[in-house]
Amino acid sequence: MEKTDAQLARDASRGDSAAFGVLVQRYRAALVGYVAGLVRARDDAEDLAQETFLRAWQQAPLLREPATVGRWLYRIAHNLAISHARRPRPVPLVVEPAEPAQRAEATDCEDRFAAVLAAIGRLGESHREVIARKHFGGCTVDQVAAQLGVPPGTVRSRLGRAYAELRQLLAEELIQD
Amino acid sequence: MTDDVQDQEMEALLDRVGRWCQPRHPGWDTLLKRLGPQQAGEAGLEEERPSRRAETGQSKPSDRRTALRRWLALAAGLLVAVTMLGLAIVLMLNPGGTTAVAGDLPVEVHRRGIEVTIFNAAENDEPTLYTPLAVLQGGSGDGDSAAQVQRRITRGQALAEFQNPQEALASGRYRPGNLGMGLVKDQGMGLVKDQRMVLHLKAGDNVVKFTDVAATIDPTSVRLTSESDPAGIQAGIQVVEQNFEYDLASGDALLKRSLDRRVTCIGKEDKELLEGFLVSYDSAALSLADAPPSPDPKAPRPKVQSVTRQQLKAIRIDEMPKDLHTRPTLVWKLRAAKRGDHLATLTYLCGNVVWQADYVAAIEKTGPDGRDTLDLTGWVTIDNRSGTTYDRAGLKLIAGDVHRVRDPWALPERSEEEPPIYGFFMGYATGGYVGAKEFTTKDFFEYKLYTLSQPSTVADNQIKQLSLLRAAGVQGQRRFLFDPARHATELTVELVVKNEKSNGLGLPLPKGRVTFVGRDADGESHFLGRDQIDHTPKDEELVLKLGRAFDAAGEHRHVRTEVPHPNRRIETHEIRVRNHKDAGIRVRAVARLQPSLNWQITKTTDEYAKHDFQTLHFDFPLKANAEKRVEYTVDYRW
Repeated sequence: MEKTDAQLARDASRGDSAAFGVLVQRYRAALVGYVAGLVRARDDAEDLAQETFLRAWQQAPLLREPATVGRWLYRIAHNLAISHARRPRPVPLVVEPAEPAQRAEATDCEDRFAAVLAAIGRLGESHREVIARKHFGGCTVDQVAAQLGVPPGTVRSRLGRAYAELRQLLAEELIQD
Repeated sequence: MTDDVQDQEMEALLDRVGRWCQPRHPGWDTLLKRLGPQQAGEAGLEEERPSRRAETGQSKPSDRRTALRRWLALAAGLLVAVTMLGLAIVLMLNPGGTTAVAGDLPVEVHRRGIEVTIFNAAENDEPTLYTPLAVLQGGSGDGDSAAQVQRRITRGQALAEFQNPQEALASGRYRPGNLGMGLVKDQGMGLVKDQRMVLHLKAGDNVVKFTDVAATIDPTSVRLTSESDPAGIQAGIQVVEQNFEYDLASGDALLKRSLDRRVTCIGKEDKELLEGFLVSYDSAALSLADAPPSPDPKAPRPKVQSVTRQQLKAIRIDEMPKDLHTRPTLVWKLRAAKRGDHLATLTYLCGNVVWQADYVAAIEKTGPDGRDTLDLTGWVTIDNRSGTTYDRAGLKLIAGDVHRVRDPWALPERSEEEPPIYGFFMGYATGGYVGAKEFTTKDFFEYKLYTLSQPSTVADNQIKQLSLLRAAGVQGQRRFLFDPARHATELTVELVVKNEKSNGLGLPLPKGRVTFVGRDADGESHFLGRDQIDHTPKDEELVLKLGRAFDAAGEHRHVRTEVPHPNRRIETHEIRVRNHKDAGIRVRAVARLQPSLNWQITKTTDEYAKHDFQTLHFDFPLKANAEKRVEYTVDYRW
């Protein structure tokens, strides 16, 4: 039986690094995606996601509501992304650009992904959570249900509503562009 | 479109985005090891952000408890502020001091990007002190073990240990020859620009280790700059000290460090043969004492026992010496004004990485007057023996002979009587690089820079080939050269190609080897010859030598000499060229004159072009199965 996030967060707050490692596994891709949607730079997003977990570990004993660990991690990541955006940019190493066609293709693809990630970031927590666990964490519906402590049917209905909301957000963005 | 279909599309898109977001950074593997100590206490985040309490669904506390907690939070905030102020004062008073804060994470270095600029092999390349020279033999003496512990050494290391090559070889620890490295001569040079993220620098002095640098690095060329703060105003990092650790953990290096320490010899059958304190070792045997050396002269002398390496399967050392590295490592002492992460760029020169151009000229068609149509393909061949892999590196290649200053620490001059010894000391023994100091004679901008459009990985000990150019339909004129001073009767076949845009080229062609391929009547490709071209700018003429002509012959005769005056001589020469082919050819006959005398051509059957002060060129067409006679008279005065 998989431990819920709340159980893992409680163990982590008592210094159980193995439990914290499981939390890292569950949330890291989702946090990378969430931060990438904010900062629009994948490498930076990975750095910031790691920093999020390091901060979270240090402050885990201060977490009063282990059930809200997901939201808490997103909040730390959000704050770090905001601080990062205010920091001056380092000068990038001058590397010759790739072939124009390939570069344009890669940039388009990354832009589209970043737009999707930004839209996910605008979803409500319950919707964002199920999407992140299913599509970023690679969990099945049953596993997501077990992690959240809700019936699988609830997860499916949340997913359905999340997809609909995402479509709407992406369509709005398309219109704005 | 139904909701189900739309959901499936959305799922597919989200799966792709999810895959894109999967962690790739190497830091994830060590994340759990980097976890610092946790903060203690009950007052925390939730208290600092009361507005979030409602979001988390916490029950609302009583007003009294809220007030108490606010006061506690205020007190805690004040305490933190006072602590920070104290810390700031300490920092100001002691900016260079080590102010490690409890819970500091170990310094980490991650590569963010790399760019390598490779210079082509210059004729004046010379060995440097850091050139890898030889492979050190070690292990138990049997072939397999010796191969496992082989390692590269540098000229500097060899010099530090031995007075001369003979002594080095007599020691039995150096293997002459070349085991996978360009040991005889330092070939090529590269400029490496390596961008790395240095994480968790603390304020004050930090020891930072950069591994994965080239084994052939020139430590005197190393430069470290901070990209995060180039001016060093905010968090400036300052290099206090730099060490290049190239004493790698080979079998012999471990034994050397283990002298007077406890070692255990394991026999062939995995049994402990002998345990004791290492007194000495060589390629044949180890000597162990039963007690460590004592400073007391009255102490009983330890018993020493030897064991041959042939008896051994392994040698166990209790502790890995701290000053040995498994890979060449740059060790820095960096002083940072402020704790944090830094993006730094490391720039250095390294040896044994070289590139050259290789061309394949396929002769596709030959016209009636000897005009050939070529398909020219150019390749860049990169040979990396620098001791490291450049992963997904931006590659730049510089064509042009860059002069290099001879290493000021190079070996002293030796007398010529001493015979050449072995490969890795060849340059030394033959005095090959003993000479006057040389300096760069060309500006950088006089060279040609070729940049690869995409990053590429160049592994250590790898020869990599990349496409440079491809030009089809290039026209070349075949020319038969008769130079009697070089070949009495034979004609050399040359191909003259104009490096012009109108001819499908018009590119700066870097120095390299050209391989000619031709097709026979059945369309089969055959090797025709090979030549070397020098750096050729656009709009210049390429003269490529293919080989000797079979169906053409020439002869040169000195017909007569007149001496009308003691200071004058009149000579008449005759050149005959015969074409036995069924097609016409173009011929260039070369006439050599005496350079030390004043000369004048007084009579000639054909027009000529003066090539230089001692050479004339007679260019003429020659019909099929015909002979051409050229006669010229030269009047020498002195």
